[in-house]
Amino acid sequence: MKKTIKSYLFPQVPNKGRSDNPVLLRITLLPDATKVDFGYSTFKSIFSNGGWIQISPETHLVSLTDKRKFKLLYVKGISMSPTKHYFESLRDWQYYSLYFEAIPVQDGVYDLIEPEFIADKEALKAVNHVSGGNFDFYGIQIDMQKAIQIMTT
Amino acid sequence: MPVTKNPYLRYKAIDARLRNRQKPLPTIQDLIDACAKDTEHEPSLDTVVKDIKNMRLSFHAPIKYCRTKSVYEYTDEAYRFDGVGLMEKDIDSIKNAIELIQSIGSSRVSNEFEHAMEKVLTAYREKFPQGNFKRQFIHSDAPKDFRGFEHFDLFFRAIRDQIPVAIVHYSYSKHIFTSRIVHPMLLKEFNNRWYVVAFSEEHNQVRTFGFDRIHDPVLVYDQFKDDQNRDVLTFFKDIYGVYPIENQGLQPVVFDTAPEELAYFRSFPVHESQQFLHVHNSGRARIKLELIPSYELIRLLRSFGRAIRIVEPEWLRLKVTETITR
Repeated sequence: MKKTIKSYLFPQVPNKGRSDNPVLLRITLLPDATKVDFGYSTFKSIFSNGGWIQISPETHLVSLTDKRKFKLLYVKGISMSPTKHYFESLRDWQYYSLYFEAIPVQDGVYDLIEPEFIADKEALKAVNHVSGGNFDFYGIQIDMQKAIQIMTT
Repeated sequence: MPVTKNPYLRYKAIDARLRNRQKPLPTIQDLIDACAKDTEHEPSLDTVVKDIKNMRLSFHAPIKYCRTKSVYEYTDEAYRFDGVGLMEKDIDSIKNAIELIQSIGSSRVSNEFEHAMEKVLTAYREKFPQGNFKRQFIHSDAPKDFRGFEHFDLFFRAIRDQIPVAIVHYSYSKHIFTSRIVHPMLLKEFNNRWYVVAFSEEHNQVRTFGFDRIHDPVLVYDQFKDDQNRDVLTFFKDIYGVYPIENQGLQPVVFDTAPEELAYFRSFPVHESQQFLHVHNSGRARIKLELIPSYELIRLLRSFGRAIRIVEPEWLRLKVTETITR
């Protein structure tokens, strides 16, 4: 695998999410991680106060080419389950980022999978929520021709 | 910053000691003693070593360490640590300006300005005004920690050096996130809120983005695109505020004011185009503006309630009235 000290941004990333909320906004290939940015708006939430979001620590990227998995390293702007990030109203929003192990700096197609966790399964069945499968994004295309190099200094 | 922690005072002491022709080639202990004498606080060995390093890096001081004799010296005698010629009057002016900026608001700009001036003033052995005034005599309502202000430095650099920026934008009205590449052209402040005016690749036109709606901006290597046909400064001269109403161009806005508002409009013209068409003996007045109506203008007119009445355009009268009666 080619390792780079440069960072590349993909401002538009074709993918097939299960819903339009959260929306996968962009991907950055950093030297030591892959940063995936998301936006979540409570505007369409079924909860009167906007509900909550969280992310499973088991969430990962998987390459469709060789089935290799890239683990979630850390997050910014969202809580790792079982902790939850609660919203206050239907006019709330949250920008957050997931950092995975670095994927190769080359063309590729990936799925982003958040495994369901048993403890919350029943609750998750009751509500159409971010967790429990809605967070899956399929066919995320990394096309190096569309990469923009980031200024690091 | 306490005098004992002010590195510039130590730099100055080190500089003076290195120039002392009576006692040339000081050792590290000589430099520590010189700092202790000038600052009334004895710095540690590590502190002085770091100071020398900083003087080399930040002030390009040609300080050489002689390993055989364990002494320091300037390799260039022409070097001046305090190379700016300031008169007492200049120093007073700088100090007054710093105090004024500190009073108005502690923004990143003022912090950087203070830092730069600290270097200059310390070179002249002036005590730096700390801003802890016993009697504060200027107060402004500038919010200190509003969302997005941390982007100021990045956009300032992007505009100065013409660097495109990748942003995530959240629309308050549409409730959607978008990832965009923008080419910043102007920083705009209105009612203590900051905006960046930029060419948006997605819209293929110049747009205004509130700092508070921007997430995670990053500078990118890409060709900078500018809208050569648009002078953004001229554009803002025709607007009160930031966000123009869609599909509305430059047009007259006429309204009547109640007598109690006359003094307000005389003292604080809404826009540079403001003119009084008629002032009645009672104090009632008819005022005309020539501008591109904006959301901020509607908000302003609404704030007067029934004390003003829009005469024209009709669509604006309906919009303001509708909002008030809702």
